[in-house]
Amino acid sequence: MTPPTDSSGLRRANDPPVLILTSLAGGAKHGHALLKDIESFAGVRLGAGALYGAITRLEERGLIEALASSDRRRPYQITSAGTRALESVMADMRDLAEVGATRLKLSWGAS
Amino acid sequence: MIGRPGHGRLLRWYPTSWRDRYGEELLALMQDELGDETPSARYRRAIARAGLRERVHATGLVGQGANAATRLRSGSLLILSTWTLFVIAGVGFQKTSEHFARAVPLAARPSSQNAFDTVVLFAVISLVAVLIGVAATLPSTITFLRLGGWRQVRRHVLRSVIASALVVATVVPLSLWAHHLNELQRNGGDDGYSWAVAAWALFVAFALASWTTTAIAFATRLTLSRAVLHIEGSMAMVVTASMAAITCATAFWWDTLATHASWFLQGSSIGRSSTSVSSTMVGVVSIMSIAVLCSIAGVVRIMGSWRQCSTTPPQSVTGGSLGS
Repeated sequence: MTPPTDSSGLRRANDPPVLILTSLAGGAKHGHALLKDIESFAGVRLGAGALYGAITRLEERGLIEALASSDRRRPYQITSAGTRALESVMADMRDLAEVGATRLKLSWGAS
Repeated sequence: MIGRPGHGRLLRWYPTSWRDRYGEELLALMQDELGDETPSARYRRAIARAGLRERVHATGLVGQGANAATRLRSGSLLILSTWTLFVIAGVGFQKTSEHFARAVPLAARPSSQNAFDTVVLFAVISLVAVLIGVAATLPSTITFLRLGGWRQVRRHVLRSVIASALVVATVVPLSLWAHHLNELQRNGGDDGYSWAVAAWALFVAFALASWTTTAIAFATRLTLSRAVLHIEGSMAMVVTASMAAITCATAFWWDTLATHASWFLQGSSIGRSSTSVSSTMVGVVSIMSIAVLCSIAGVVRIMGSWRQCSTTPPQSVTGGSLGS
């Protein structure tokens, strides 16, 4: 995985499970499509090993599920439990972003 | 498996059960990413790391991904493995302590003898606990073998039998040789005999390790009820407590000998040794301490999954196996 950094050296949020759930929230995808999508919206290039490690854990926890496929490229979709987990993470991120934005006096921060 | 042979080889880093479930998908992804290119060293390292992580995860020894029964079973098997290591250290202690009572002054003899007796007592307790654990799995083992499980464990059993035969075959000439030597020669005075004993000790260690691997190969494939898993966990905790007691008693015995008969630890004549540091005892106590620490990790794993544990299918189906 290649984590992007800005000029200050701070990393962006790049937790593979969150990135995968965010990608699957937009529709079912197989491994390669997931990598491309994540790279396009987060600028994070996951490795094949990291991707499948995260897929394994997410499937074990019932947050994603594999769809039937005649191809070797099996697509995955987010489950209702996965959607709830992602909503919770997004709410936490929003709260954090609002606190940061308020303290930095950014215009898009707290209403 | 379809794909470039080089890609398929990379999958060997992963446990069998993981490869069965995700292997083809990962190969397809590699094909999409790399095409006909050979994977770079960095790419190979990343796959190797991920594969090893899955192997560790499959043992059930880390993380909460595995079910409670698998975690309890893994904790028990970790303790069984460290017990084997402990036994090897115990053999070293047994050899070092031979005839120690003759070397210790009368005043210090009771304390050193008590420490030695404590070691023997807890060694017996731990052995009984291991045997109870093995006996508890016998019905499941018989069912497993009746259902054709022999093919899965045959390689492990044959290797263990060969290792044991090697130990038995070499102990006979070694014993005959020992009968022609005096006590001084048997205790380090004869270099050839010492090397032969060291080689034989390696055979014993290999045989013990081999049987432990065989036990793990069986245990990870058996369907065990909640009651049996709890017996296994209980016996594993008894073994851990025994190992801790043995380690303390061994250290106390060493301290007594170092204080009152340091020459004995060096194999020297009375009054000839000025140091109580014995490399053998340093090795013995270090190995024992490492084994106890690893076993405590196993106990933590067992206790953390004790209540949630219920009957499950074999670990090799649900979460991979130690031997895969």
